[in-house]
Amino acid sequence: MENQSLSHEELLSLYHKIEEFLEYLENEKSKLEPDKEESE
Amino acid sequence: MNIIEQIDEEIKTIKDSLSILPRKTIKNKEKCLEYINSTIKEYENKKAKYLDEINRRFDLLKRTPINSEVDLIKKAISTIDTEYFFSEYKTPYEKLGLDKLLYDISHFYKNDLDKVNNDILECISKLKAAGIENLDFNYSEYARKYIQSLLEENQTSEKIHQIFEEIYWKCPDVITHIELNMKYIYLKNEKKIEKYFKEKEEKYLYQLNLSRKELKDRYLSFERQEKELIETDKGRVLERFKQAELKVKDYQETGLKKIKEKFQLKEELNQEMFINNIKKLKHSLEEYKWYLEFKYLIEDVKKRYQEKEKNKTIAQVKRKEIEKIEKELFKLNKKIEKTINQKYFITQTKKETKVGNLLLQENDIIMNLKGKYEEWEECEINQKIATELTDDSSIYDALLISISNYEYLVERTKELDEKISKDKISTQIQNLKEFLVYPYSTLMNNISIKEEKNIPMIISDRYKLLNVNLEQEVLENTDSIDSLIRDCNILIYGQIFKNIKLNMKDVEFYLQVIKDFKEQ
Repeated sequence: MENQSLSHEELLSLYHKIEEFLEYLENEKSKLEPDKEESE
Repeated sequence: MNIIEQIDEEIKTIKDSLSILPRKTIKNKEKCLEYINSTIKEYENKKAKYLDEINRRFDLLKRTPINSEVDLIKKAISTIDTEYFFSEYKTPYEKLGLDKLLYDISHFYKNDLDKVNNDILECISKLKAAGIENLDFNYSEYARKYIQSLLEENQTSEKIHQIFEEIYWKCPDVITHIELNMKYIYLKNEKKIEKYFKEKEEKYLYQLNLSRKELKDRYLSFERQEKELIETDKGRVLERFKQAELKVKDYQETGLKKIKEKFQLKEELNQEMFINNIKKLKHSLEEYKWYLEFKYLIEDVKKRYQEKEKNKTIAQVKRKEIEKIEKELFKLNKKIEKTINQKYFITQTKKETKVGNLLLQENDIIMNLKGKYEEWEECEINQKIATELTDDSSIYDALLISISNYEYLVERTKELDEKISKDKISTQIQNLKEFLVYPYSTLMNNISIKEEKNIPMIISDRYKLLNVNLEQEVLENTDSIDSLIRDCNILIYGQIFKNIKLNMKDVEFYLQVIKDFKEQ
């Protein structure tokens, strides 16, 4: 419901910011994962 | 703090935390990974919720209904045979389309024999459709032979090229013989063809229970309705934005205000009245732009009209000259036939020489007729202008006369651009037709061919009276007219969007979603 009060601009901007942030997180995750494999 | 700043802050905090989390030991790394995974999960959820909302809003816009009434009007328009609107001054020769077909045959025969053959067959089929069964190809033996081969059942293009080749070396003018022979057949049967078209038109209008004028009024009314429905149909407008025919940036308040200030003399009128005046102005500008495009035709008709006294019977006189020469030709043809069939000749060579000489004479007569027929067509248009137009005729009538004859129209257009392509000529004719059925016409029906009016001044004065500022000078070149029409459209659409409650923010969102999500 709260999303409905967002303007179109805010909604798209939030979506893209989160999308970008998720990419950042995935990248951070991948930095950790190869080390993990090596140790195993 | 607004919501965007909030999320920026949130992300920054997480990034900061992540940067200080120890990663040296396996255990540390596992903890760090756990934190990242839980954050990913949390933000994937948020992302999905935002995406749902984006899709919900997009679908709402996408589902904007398209007015189906437009299709009904389109269907009604398509049932009207618009050729009737351009045929008022057409002779049966032109109604049959022989003016175009024979012009193409005589001008393009060197380029494309298959097209020439198709055009010849089309002439024959049109004459037959008009009830002319006995097509007398009697100009020359070559013409008769070639037509006979063309009409043979299961004729192939390859075989006809071979036959043409054989005839061509004996008579390079065979296509001219056929072209003129076709004109002869037409003139011989003109009354019958005239009756055919008269009955056809009467039957068509009788079925509709309308006069020619009523039919045109109905057509123009449908055209206006269609245009207005399309302009105000939210679904179609959105589609036009999608196709980039309309641009959101044109409809920002500041831009609209600037254009309005440019046009408005005084802030007196209410918005609706002002926009109505802008609509009228746009129609006048569009009509004036068409007028400038076809001014060369109007001027030519006016020039010929000045000589109307000497042109009133000129085509009949030319026809009599043609008939006289054709009699001579047919007499000679009989002589050729007789000589060919004559059994008693001193030697075969003498016979061949005599026939050869007679065939040369025959070709000379036909070439003389070619010149006469060209003069006849020129006289026909001059006679038509002299007899059909009066001092009260409008520039609309002048253009209707121009479009009645293909050769006249093409030759006048070529005077402007000698190298104009056939496709461009077709476009020009199509444009002229559009102009002649322009549904908001006011100028061309009300200015007579005898008047020399300063149209830019008339338009400028008229709109100043309606509180619209328009200087006469800007109407002097087509680029500035285009720019004015564009500005009018922006103001008109700006108002329409308000009326149909189409928010530019919604349009922007709709286009952005297509760009970001739907085009991949």
